[in-house]
Amino acid sequence: MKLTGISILSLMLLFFTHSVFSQEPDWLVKIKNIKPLVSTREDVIKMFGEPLEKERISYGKYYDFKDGRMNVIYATGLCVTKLEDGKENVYGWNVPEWTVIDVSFTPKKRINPKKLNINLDEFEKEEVWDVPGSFEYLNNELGIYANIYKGKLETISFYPAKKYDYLQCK
Amino acid sequence: MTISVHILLFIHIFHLFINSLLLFTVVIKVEDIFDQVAKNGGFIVADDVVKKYNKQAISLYGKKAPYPIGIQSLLKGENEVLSNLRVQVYISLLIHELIHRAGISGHERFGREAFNALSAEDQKLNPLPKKKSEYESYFTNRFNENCSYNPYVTK
Repeated sequence: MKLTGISILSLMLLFFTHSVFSQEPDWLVKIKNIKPLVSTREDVIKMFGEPLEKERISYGKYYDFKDGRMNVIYATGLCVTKLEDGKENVYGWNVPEWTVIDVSFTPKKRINPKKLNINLDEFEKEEVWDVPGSFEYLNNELGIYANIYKGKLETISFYPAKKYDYLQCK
Repeated sequence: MTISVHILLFIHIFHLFINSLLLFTVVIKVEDIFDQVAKNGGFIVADDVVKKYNKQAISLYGKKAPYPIGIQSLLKGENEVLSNLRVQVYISLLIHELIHRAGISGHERFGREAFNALSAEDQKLNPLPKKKSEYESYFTNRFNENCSYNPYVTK
């Protein structure tokens, strides 16, 4: 088969549009550099600078990007046992204080989840029962949570993957 | 014949008048409540009152609520106005609207925002659960323990 100029041009155009539209958003590339239970507050500050309300002592910190808001939650370094409904539950992670345990991002403008390059078919899907059109997607193996509202991504979170379960307080 | 038409017309106008009066009263009271929310904090818990609320919203507005409600509004302290279901529906609609404006449709974020709103000392005592499915009850528990913060309305 002989490739004409037009077919070569069409192929190039197809390749170009595919690479543009399947490209992960900048913010996603950035926040993926933060690894739950591995990255520390120092790592986050090195990558993103000081958070909003930096004077406030809190294990939850916000960062504003032009596309949305990032929320990083750090470990307190403590294990806490609580008596709930007559049962003892243990919370927390056996990691040093100020280790990242959760990072999430809420885009200003909801985006098509296809742009995430994440296969949501491999996620558990749950309907948010009181908000029509809202679904939560969870993948505990990978430690990824996504909230999709009316087909668009509202929030994505990265939390400790299943392989880190041994670090949970017991 | 003419007299019957006049009577019917009078009843209709009277009905409209009463309706608008009722609606006006509800709005005024809701504003009072929102002032109270802003001053005192206090917040909301999702529960199974939803269906009842939606039915009420339909009867109140004659159509389905813009965002069918999953939230029962609760305020710090007693308020006799809250015993009025019409007002509760109204508050729920408004709070739900606020949550949507804040870009929140999943309940995971309820838990995260509740954690962020706590003081560092309270965060130490109340770490977030590992399971995302427990985030909403985390939020509810924090609310039940301490109504002095409100991650959405007072911000």
